[in-house]
Parts: sequence; structure tokens; C-alpha cells
Amino acid sequence: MSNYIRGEFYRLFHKKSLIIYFIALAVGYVGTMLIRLDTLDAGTLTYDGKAVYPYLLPLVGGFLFATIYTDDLNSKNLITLVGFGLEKTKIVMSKFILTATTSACIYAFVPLWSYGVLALFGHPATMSSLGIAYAYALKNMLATLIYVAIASVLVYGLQRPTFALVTYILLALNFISAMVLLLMKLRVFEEIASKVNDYLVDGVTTNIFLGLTEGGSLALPLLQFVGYIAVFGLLSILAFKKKEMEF
Amino acid sequence: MRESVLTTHNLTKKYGSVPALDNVSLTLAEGDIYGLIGQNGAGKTTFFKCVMGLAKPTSGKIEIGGETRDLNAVRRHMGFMINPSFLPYLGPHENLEYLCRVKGIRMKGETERLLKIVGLADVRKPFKKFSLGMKQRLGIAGALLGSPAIVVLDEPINGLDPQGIIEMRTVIRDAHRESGATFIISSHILSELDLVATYFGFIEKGRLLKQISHKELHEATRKSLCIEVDNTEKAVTALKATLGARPVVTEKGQLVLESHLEEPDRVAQTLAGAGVTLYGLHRQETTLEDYFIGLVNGGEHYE
Repeated sequence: MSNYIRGEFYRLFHKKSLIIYFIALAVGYVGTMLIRLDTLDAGTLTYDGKAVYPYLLPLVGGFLFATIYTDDLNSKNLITLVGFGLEKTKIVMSKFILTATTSACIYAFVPLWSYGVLALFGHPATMSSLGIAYAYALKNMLATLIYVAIASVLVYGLQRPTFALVTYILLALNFISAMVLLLMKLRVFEEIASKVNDYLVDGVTTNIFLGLTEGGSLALPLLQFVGYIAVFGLLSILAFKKKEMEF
Repeated sequence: MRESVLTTHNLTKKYGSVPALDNVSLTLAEGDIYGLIGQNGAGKTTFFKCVMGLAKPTSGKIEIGGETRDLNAVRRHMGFMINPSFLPYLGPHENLEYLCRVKGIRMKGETERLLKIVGLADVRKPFKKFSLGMKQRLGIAGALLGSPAIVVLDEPINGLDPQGIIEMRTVIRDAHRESGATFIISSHILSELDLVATYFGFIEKGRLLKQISHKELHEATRKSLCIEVDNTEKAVTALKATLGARPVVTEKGQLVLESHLEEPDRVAQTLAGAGVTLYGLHRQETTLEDYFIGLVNGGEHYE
């Protein structure tokens, strides 16, 4: 499994478009600062954490998902891996570990970059603001991981890369949860609507955020997060084992 | 007797009720270049998919290097190419380096060595810009990574132009000579596999019709004289006595003579001299294709 993860890191670091894309995102962020030059202040960091970081789910997560998951399907690399004797369970687990590690690195860099750019424009944020920005980054990272876990079931079960990627993007844009919440507004669901929200991805990650920033309980939302990953991870493994490799 | 490195026992794979493989029992001996011949859709790729763990057999057993249970462990010592599949944005060197890491191969200079064998050592462009021939050659290099004991190549010459076919043949021969591995190669072009393979298996509609060595195949396809006469017994006696020939009488009552191919006039004179009426005399040659077609159209089933 460690060999496979090593190989995947090699692949990621040699995918020029991935590196160029992330550099472009970082530069693009500086561009947004230039546009907002007159309104920048020390509070911009927490504002961006709340308003800008959610866009990282489709922008960063989408590209990562495409690179780590759907690239393998498009290039039939998954066939090579299984033919090499790699167990399907280990492939699923390795890919998730890879996604988690890469996401952690990127989301750890994002608040630092925001902080650095703001400081460069003469508005250094406080350490407390940086802490809140990190909490927002963590919230979005956890959501990214859950959405990746959900969409990966389609990668392994259907082996249709475009369908899986579109599903991830819809999840990341909150399209599907918005649909669910809309449904909950129907009279028949009124009673359970308030209860369900806490169990949806946004509810779970928001509760983790609140736990970190306002001292709320972390145990239950963290357990829910692990539950999401475990359930969809298991579904991915089952789907992959059941589905034959498509040529 | 050479050791078997890969054996399948009554391997069957059905899609719904349609058998893609039907009780295939194949034996691959160490050091062979085994040519698996079959028309498109005969079951060659399905066979490889089952062997490589990409498809689950409906029934039957696969034995690789004596192992029947933990096949994934022994598959790590195999190399394969079923449609050359590489990452499109990486060059040949990076693609092989990636596979080296995935397979845990830590042999210094391995990628350079293999790229030299397949003639891609100086290529820098990404895989997506490769021609079909280059893709096939990189596929072979990928299959040879880490010096595997068994190399599986599915249709390596498929879609190549004549020059590409010649190059591929050389690459396979060189790779076999340098690696000493056992190769199993599929193709629907028998005459092409004939130039590299040492053993053949013929597959049609999922059934393995026959396994035959290169020598046996050529014995079965050699040239002969076909003679039609009024009295076969008398003709056989005359040919034996006068020419020392050993004709064989076929079920159709024809004589088949594998000697005196360049002397049909002498054969005719001998028969006439013995009072045998000659109805017909011609040279016949069973080509490899004829042999294959003969097998497919009601030939014997290999047991």
C-alpha cells in the first residue's frame, strides 16, 4: 500500500497542469485582493474564511478528485493496478489516504497564504483571526473528504469518470444538499427537517467548526464525519469488488 | 519435462448465459513464447482478464507458479499489457518510474534499460502524443518492469503497420532473450505469431481447440503430393518398391506423398509403369491459415 501511495505522489508531482492550476488559483486569490483593495482590513481573513473558502470545495477538491480518481479511469490505469495484483480494498484506502493527505497540505497552506497576502497589502490579521480561518479551512477540508468519499462510490461502482466528477461538483456546490433542504420544506417533512440538517454534510462540518471556535461538543460531529467516511468507504470497496474492470 | 508456470483447469467465464470461456485448460511451460491464436471475440482477452484478476471466472481454477489461492501475490511477479494503458500527461520515463514505485521495484536504471529495449529511450513527449506503435512498445516495457517471470501481451501487433509489426517482433524476441521470461501473446494473425512463438494454443468461441508446439505445427502444415488413382493398393506397392517412398492413404482414398515433391513426373511414370490409372497429381500445401481455419471449422477439440 505504501508503494502505491509513493507512486501516486510521484504522479501528482509530475502532473504539470495540477501544479500550474494551483499556482493560478493562488495568483487569482491575490487578484481578488487587488480588486478589493479599498475594503481590505484585518477582518478580511475571517471574512474570506467564511465567504471564499467554500469555493475551494469545487475548485480545489474538484481538481484533486479528477486527478486522483477519474484520471485513473480515463487512462485505464486502474486496470494496470489491479492486474499488478494490488488488492481492490487497498486501492480504495490508498486513494482516500492520498486525498486526505493532499487536501490537508493544501487546506493548511490556504489560511497562511491569505494571511501572508493580507500582510503584504498592509493588513496583518491577528493570530485569533488566523485560528478562525484555519477552522473554516478544516470545515471545508472535511466536507471535501466526505464528498470525495461519496463520489468515489460512483468511480468504483460505475467506472464512469465524467458522471463521478459531475456528482462531486454538484455535491461540492451544495446543489444536492440544497435540493434535500428544499424537499424538507414540504409540509410532510416539516417535523424532521430541523433534525435532519444536523446530519447532512454541511450540518456536521458546521458543528465541528462551532466546536472548535465556540467550544461546542466535538465528539458527535466528529463521529458523524467518521461515519460518513466509513460508510461510503465500505460502499466503495463493495462496489469495486462487485464491478468488473471495464476495458 | 519443463515446469509449468501457468495452468488453467476448466476455466469458464460466462456473461449471462453466454460463455466467453468454456472449460479452457491451458498449460504454459517455463521459457516458452506461447501464442494464443483466435479470431476477434474468440475469448483471448477474457482469458487474460481472468488470469490477471480483472474478471472473476464463473468456474475453474487458475494456477500460477503452483499457487492457486493467493493469486494476487503471484501476479506481482507478472507483467502484462492489455491495451497499453498509461497516464496521458506523463512521458515514457515518468510512466515507467510511476509503475516502478507502485510495484515497489528498486532496480536502478531499470526504466532506462527497458526503454532502450523498446526503442523509446530518447522520447520525451507525453504518452497522449504517442503513435499506436509507440504505445504498444511502451506497453511491452511496462510489462517487463521488474523482470517478471511471466509476461502477458494481448494483441501487441494489433493495428500496427507492416514496419511496426516487424519492429514489434524484434522487440518481443529481444525482450524474451534478455529477460528469459515466459511469454504468452495473443493475436488473430497466426502467420505473425508463427515467427516468434514456440508453442501455440488455438481458441475459438471460448473453447481451446488445440495446443501444439511450433515443430508439430510445421509438421502438420508441410508440403506434399496428392495423388488420385484407380487402385491405391497397387499404387502404394509400386511407389514403395520403385521410389522407396512411403505414401499415406487418406480417408478419401487419395495418396499423400511427402517425398519426391520435385519429381512429380517420376511419380507419374512409376504409377503408369505399374499399370495404375492416374486421375490426378498435384502439389498441396496446408498454410498456417488453412490449418487454423480447419481447426475452427470442426477441427478436434483439445482435451
